[in-house]
Amino acid sequence: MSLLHWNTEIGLCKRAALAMLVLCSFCVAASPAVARDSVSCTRDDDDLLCTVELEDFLNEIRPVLNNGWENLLEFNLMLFEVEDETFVGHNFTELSARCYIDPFDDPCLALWSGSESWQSYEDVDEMILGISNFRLVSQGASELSGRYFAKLTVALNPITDKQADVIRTWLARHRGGHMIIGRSDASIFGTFVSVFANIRSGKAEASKTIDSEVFELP
Amino acid sequence: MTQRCLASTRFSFRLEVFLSTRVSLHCRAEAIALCLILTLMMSLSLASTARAEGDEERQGPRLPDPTYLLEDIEIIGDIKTTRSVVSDLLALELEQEVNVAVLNEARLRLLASGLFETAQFGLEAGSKRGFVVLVVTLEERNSILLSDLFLGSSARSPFWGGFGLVEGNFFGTGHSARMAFVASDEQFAIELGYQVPKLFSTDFSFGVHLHSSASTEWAHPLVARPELGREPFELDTVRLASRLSFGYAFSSAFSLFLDLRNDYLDSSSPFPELTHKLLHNGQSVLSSAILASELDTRDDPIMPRRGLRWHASVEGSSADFLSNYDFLKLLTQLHLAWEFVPGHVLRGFAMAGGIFGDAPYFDRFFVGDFDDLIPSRSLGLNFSARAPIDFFNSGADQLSYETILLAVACEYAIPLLERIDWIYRMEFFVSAGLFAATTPADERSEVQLGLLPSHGPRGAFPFDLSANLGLRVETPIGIFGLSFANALSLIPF
Repeated sequence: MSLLHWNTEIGLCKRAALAMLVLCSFCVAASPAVARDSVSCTRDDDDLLCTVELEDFLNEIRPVLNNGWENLLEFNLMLFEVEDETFVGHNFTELSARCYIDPFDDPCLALWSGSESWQSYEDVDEMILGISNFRLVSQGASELSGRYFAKLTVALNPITDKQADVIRTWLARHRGGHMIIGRSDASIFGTFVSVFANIRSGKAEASKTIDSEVFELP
Repeated sequence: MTQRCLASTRFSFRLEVFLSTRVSLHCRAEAIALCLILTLMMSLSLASTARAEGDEERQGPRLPDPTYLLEDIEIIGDIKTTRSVVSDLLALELEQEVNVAVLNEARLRLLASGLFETAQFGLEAGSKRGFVVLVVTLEERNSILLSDLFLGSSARSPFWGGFGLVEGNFFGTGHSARMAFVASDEQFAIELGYQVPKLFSTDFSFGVHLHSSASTEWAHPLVARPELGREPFELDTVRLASRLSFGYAFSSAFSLFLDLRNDYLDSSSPFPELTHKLLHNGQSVLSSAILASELDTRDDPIMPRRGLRWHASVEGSSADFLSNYDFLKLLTQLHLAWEFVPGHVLRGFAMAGGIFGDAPYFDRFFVGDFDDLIPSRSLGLNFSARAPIDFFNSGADQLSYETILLAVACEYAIPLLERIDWIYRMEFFVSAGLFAATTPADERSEVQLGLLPSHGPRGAFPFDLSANLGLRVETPIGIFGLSFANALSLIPF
């Protein structure tokens, strides 16, 4: 399958929820493990359980997690068939984490998307330990059969679609738009190129992609 | 859950967009002031809605967000942007009450300047309880970008080409500077521009644009002359132009501009009696003032998925005041984009313009700028002689520089690729449109300038079909289009 087709499917699936998996994300604390960022997936009845270990990455961004700011971590897990790397589905969740600078407040809090309450930690090290091991649960695994691998992308404070839109709108006024007459893109090889080109969602302050081992679903 | 939440807020935003569209369509020349006021009110409404959207990123429980007093701002990073520019963009006062929500708006302002790749915020304890130091870690983006790329071939000019560059952060000031040129074996143009987006840290902007060109247009007599027959002759023009632009941004989406323009022109025509309606022979001066309003809520200027751009302008030049030309030019344009199902975008374009008086030919509506099937002008110069096809036998193949124009077009686009390495986005598009243009018979010149004329009947308001299809690719260095129209402009006929 061509690269072009591969990405088309991603784009459509993200927007139209074409993925075979019914995306349902919740997190379960897993047992602490030796620090080595990894993703491993197994089947549990109708669910696909992917255990994520991220201690290395979280330690790399430790100064950011401890900077008093509310930081957002986005986790995007994509499932592919091994043979032709066909995209099968994805699971998405996010985590808000903050270590407060005021010593009279709770030092560090972490809130998973979909959760009704946050978890509290004594310091940033305890928070990293607490959030570095978790499981992503995806429904619909009973419809899958064959050899697969998962790709997890974790992004720190990515620019969201909404933020990118706001940024693009603000940029509009800086380009002398009132002088543009006509459709502005009629010339050869796209005569119009601009700073807009560099504004896109998804750009993060730090990110990491981890591939799982190949696993087989009966 | 987040995705559903965002979709619902976008929907309410769209309702207001359509409301303002309807009003702008009914704008008439004599009601420009009323339209401007209405547009201003609506754009303010749009801006507040957009702010509300920005605040409403996520729903459900949030982490506590205590308020502190801002003690100091520390800027970290190997950047050329001056501290004063960063401070202006942050727009924060010392001892101001801040929390993450407030500071996130400041972060967006920094990113929206286009100067920084990332803006990481952190908080450190201040000298007293309740006070904080804001730590801003900045990474600048490459601010030198390709703004134009010209390449073409025609029977008249075997090759023409050029490019433009923009430095978006000139010496770290946050100002932008632009240079562009295009040349062929017989014509050239160069443009320089300098833009101050926030004059003295206010919402006023200022720009200066310089243009210099030496052009040669072929003039084709429409009626055989005893001394000439129908042999074309050259109209040579040297143009030195300057334009000062003053703007005020009422919101992120709506701005007003007042431009003052001054052109020095030197033209040479072997038959000035045939070209005097197009350009004064010899030396002349054109001075004009332009009042323009611009409402732009699109998420992208070239590949928008939603939003609109509405533009209206009035340009006037009086022979009684520092000018040899007497004309009034009215122009309005509307661009609409609507992602009617995810990944499928419909775009619309409409334009109407009229010129009353003796505007020089290069200020008139050139048919190539609206017909995708013939090359458009580059930096104001026409390099091709190809006439429109005239699908409807209405006389559109006799159009060139006209004084009245109506154009509508629609486009259907399907995104193909997203976020892969050096391609941010790629889309396939197909478009079709109709345009109609004319010049009243008593104002029409005895020659057709630029494009090869046909000598068939010409209706009162010739109209024609325009169509295009191709790909657009958004990359780290810009947006590139590869289309049927591009290919046509490379074929020298």
